[in-house]
Amino acid sequence: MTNKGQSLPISIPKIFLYLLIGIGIAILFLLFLKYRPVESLNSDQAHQLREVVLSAIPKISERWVEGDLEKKFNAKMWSCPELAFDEAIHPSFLKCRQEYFECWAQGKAQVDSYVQVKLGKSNFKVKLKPHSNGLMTQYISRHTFSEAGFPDKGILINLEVENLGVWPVILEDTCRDTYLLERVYSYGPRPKRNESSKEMMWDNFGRSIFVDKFLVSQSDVAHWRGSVAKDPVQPALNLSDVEQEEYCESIGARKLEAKIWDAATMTPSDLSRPMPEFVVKPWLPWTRDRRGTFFEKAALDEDWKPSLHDCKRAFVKECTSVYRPHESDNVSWTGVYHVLGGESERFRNPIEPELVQRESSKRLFARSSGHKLGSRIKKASASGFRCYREVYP
Amino acid sequence: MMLLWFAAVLSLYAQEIDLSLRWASAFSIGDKHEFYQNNQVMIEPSDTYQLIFSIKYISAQPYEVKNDCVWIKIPGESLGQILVETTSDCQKRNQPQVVWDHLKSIQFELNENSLKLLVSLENGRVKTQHIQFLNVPKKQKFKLFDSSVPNREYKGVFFLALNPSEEFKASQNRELLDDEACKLEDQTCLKCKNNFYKIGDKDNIQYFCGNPRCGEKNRPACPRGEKWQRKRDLFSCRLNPEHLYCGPNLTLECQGELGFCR
Repeated sequence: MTNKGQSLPISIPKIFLYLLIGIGIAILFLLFLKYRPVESLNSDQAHQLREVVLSAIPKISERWVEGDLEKKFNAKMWSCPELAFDEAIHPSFLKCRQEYFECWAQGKAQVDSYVQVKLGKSNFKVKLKPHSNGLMTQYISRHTFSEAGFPDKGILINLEVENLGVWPVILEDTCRDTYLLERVYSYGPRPKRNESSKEMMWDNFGRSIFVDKFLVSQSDVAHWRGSVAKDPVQPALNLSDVEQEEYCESIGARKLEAKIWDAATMTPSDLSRPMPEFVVKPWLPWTRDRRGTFFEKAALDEDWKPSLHDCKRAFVKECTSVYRPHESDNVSWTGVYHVLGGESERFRNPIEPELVQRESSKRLFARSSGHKLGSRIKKASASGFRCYREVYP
Repeated sequence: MMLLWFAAVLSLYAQEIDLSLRWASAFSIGDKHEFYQNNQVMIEPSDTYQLIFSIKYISAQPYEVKNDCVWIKIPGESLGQILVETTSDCQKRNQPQVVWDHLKSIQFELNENSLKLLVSLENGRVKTQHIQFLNVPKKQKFKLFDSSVPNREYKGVFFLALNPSEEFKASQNRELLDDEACKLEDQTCLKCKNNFYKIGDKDNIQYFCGNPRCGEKNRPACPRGEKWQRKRDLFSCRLNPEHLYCGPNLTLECQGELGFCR
């Protein structure tokens, strides 16, 4: 039996009303999805990610800049295919070095490949997330990752915190160069008595000039070209002048000029006087003249043999030890390394365009007079190069 | 009831933009307003919109470089607002987004790499926000052994966008070719494909893209500096060109105060 006088529990106008409310909610929801600010999504999570990564950055940065802090790079313990053990590799080479950082991030550097962060009561692990090609690091230069205002040289990494997300960062190469103080300098070697030599005084007041600490390595060139280096630690010796210029331009720099090289290697007689009347030039980076040095001993004694320490100072022809291009004993007053001996290097030289190659190299015996600052010869053999940067305000 | 709740949530989301996250990757500040001093209450010209600065940053979705123009509606007869407009050039208008609304007074402090906003609301409440621009470099006085890497908040670290959904698409905006003129002030020199260089001194400085190859034939003369001579004479390309030099067998030719080697 049905009760004909009783109406349905939901009337038609009510159905319309609910329908309208439903459609209204749907429209509002769609509008919300369209116009929501992106940052509002999971903003607590994003804030936490930001805080965790910023807390981890000093440690990550230290690993990049200092490299093999625990001194694990030795023949017995090393198992990194990207960076095979090589006695020619000095610890300086592992600083700001993509190959070492890749190895560390992949957990093959014999140390933890992550950074632990404690915030409040929670612990977080910050590690690297691989790029789409499977590698943890990606080389960055003006030519490979061109965007105005971005760093000129470094590596791109993805810092990942579990359950919070990823924050990609570029680690810049802070190890590459060193500042040349603003002062008066002089181009050319210290002249011998009664000898006329091409000297030229100049100054760099108002200019911020930075000089590469080491010769450009085969590893640097391989990253630039996207190729594999045969001998990553050794200087790149077989680039043409144009290629050398192109490499330096790719990292926002220029090929080093001879007069800047002289300035960066000849210790001023008085650092407190930036505008001396005359520039008194030393013959060697470490002392005023050759007296008491192994160069003098070699000149006086035909049977002279260099010690390991001598070869660290300047790798000359008599040296039989392994040549390490990133040795840190061969240093000038500005922190430029590899000043005498070793592989020769080529400069741009608008003052004397013919004299572009450093005379001192491992091809000369220690007794040779060519082992002196500012002494240059015509382009004679395969030689390395370095870059310099000028920073504008 | 439900509708009201939804509308309330929607209005909350529509108003609040988290600038500290949005600009976590900001790397360059431009278009700074010349008139307003830091921490000055903005009262003039009332009821107008003023562009106070623009900021370049990397957005996560899409993962690319964007430019926000920051506008302030100065409170007057009607209440004030802080708005951001995402557009490549602040002269080109776009749909603005409201950051903060219903503001009775507005103050800001824009420093080399940070921004402080201080506002009072209609109901008397005071709101502040401090944003650190992690990638914007601070000026520095270089010392012996310093590196050329810019002095950012975390030295040597450049932050991209948080939680991007894809690989970064560089816009290849370094399109200026060698020997094209550029300016430091408007940051066009950053757009040089192959770096840039400066020629001239003091009031006659010009910047060009590319490699100067100074001292070579038909290239700019090399700078020699002005203090090595220890004289007070004014250097001039025509009268005393000893602050410049060219390679052997080349002569210095002056074009105005700029020297070239011929």
